[in-house]
Amino acid sequence: MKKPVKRIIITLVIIVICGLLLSVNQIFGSKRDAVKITIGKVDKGPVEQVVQATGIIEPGEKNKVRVEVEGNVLEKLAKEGDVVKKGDVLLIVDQTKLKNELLDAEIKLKRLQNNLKTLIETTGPSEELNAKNDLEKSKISLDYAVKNLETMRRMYKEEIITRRQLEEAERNLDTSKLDYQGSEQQLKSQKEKFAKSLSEAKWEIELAQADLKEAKRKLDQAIVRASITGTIVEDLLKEKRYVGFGEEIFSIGDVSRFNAKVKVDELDISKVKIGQPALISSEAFKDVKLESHVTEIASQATRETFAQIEVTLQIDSTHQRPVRPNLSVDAEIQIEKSGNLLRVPIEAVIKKDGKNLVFVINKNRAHRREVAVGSANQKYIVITKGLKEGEQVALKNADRLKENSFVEKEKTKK
Amino acid sequence: MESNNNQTNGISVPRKNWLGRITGVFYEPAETFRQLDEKPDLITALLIPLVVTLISGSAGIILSFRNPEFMDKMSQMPDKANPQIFMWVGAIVGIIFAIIWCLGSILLKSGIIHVIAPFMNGKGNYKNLLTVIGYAYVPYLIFSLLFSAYVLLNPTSFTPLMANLSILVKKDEVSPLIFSLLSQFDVFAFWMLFLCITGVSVVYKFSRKKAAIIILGLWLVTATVSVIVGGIVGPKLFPKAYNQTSESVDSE
Repeated sequence: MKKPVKRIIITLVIIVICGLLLSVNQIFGSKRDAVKITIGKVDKGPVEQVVQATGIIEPGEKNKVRVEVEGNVLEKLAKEGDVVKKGDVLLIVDQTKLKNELLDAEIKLKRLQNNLKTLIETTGPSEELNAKNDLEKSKISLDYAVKNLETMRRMYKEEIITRRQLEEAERNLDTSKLDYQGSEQQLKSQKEKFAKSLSEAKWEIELAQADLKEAKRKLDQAIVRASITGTIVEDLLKEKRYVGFGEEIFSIGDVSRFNAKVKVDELDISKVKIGQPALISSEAFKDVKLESHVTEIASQATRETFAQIEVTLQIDSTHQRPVRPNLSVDAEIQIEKSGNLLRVPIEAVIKKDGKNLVFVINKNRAHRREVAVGSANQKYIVITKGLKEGEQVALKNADRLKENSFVEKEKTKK
Repeated sequence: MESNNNQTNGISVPRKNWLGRITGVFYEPAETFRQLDEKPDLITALLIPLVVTLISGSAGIILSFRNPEFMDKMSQMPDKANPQIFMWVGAIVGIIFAIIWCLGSILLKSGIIHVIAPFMNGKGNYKNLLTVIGYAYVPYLIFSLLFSAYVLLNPTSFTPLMANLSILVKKDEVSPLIFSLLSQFDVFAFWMLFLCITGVSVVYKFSRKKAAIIILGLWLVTATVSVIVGGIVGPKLFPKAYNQTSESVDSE
């Protein structure tokens, strides 16, 4: 083969190889360059303004059962999860000590009642009689002293007795007057003393009666009963064998209806109003969102890392889902409703150089498009210009795309 | 005075300059290597892989800067680290290491051949061998130019030009072992092997068959090591880099 021909052939072969290489890389390379994305659709729907919060489920009504006596636990008749009716016995505290206290109170009352009877029937009248007798004697002595003085004065005028004897008779009269006055005073104070003793005895009886009543009440309260009909949501007593006065032993919840207690950020709380609807979701019932409404907004904030305000949402229907107290929930409180608007998932819109951009996906290629946007919530953003309903847009990794980038839908791992 | 002619089978052949020798590698490799064996040109021989590494390395850096995952990682760096400086320093250090690696592998490969060749009754000079091995990189000049053209023509691309069978599969759809194995079947690598066989047979003055045993044997060893490292050791050491799944949008 001649040299020039050989050179031409070799050159052509090299060119063909290079051309083939470029072509093959052009075809397969674009797929290798694919940016893995997730895809969202442009659709029409509401873009509701919501406030998000997290919290827990609580029974509609919750009541704590306390014991009003202290003592050893004799019998525990309920446990967590039990359904109880109002008045059902939950716990019996040892009554031995309380029964003794009741007996002591009864004995004391009886004793005091007897004392009163004795005071009225015996002690009081006899002491009064003695005082009256003393007064009578003093009266007789006084009358005698008066008559004696009159006789002595007459005899003095007739000069039968001496002046000294008259003066003695006058002194006797004065002494008798003083004795009489003393007896009168004695009778009066005796009456007062009796009235006072009577009053004290009656008061002591009243106290004893109150003690007896208290002892009876304590004895009754040694049997602890359910305060409301519901389910025992919390067993605070656990394995304890002794209860103290005022100790909380059970928490009973009315599980025929539920509330969600959620914590709203202080920046959002001004938007939340009583009566606003809210949707509640939980890992325990992923398939449905429970409808609820705001019933209460706490008057003060709680501060953990930042200030939050507790908001109570009354769940309108559980949709027969396994709602349980203390389940963790996410809530979306709808603070503003909107109509049917053209929207895209929020992550589709990228801000670049002051422009709002989306990447529309067409035949595995991304095409940059500038859009005008309206209001947004945590999920969607309203598109006022630049997109049509039904178009597909890149979501995840949209910020990695360029005009005409090849894209692949990311596979979700099983 | 140096003669500008060369005697081949009694025929006088004009001596080639450096450009003629480079083109000669494409059109008359045996003759070109013979001339190099007579008068080795080590500087050009070492410059060729150097230029190849520089061009390919630069194109590779452009691709790295386009790679969204790489740029994401850079953007996640703390502000104090200054990602821009980090990227450029990394790029320059990368190219320097690539040059060292390339020249080192040429020296090592040549050294191994030079040790083995005498056992096959070959007699040759190490400097001459280095020259022909360096010139055997000439096809990669074409590759590096093609690579640069590909990078410039595809502004959204961030994967390198491939001249091996792995272009036909997607990395995340086949096992790393298969992918690594397919990567060994490279058009330019085979071209270079052919040139090395020709060059070694000229330098050591034995048959191409003997040269092929040495060169292909050496390639087999390096290819096996590459497959083991890329297909078995790599995925175990860096599982995240190999654990990607995807599907086409069209498959929806």
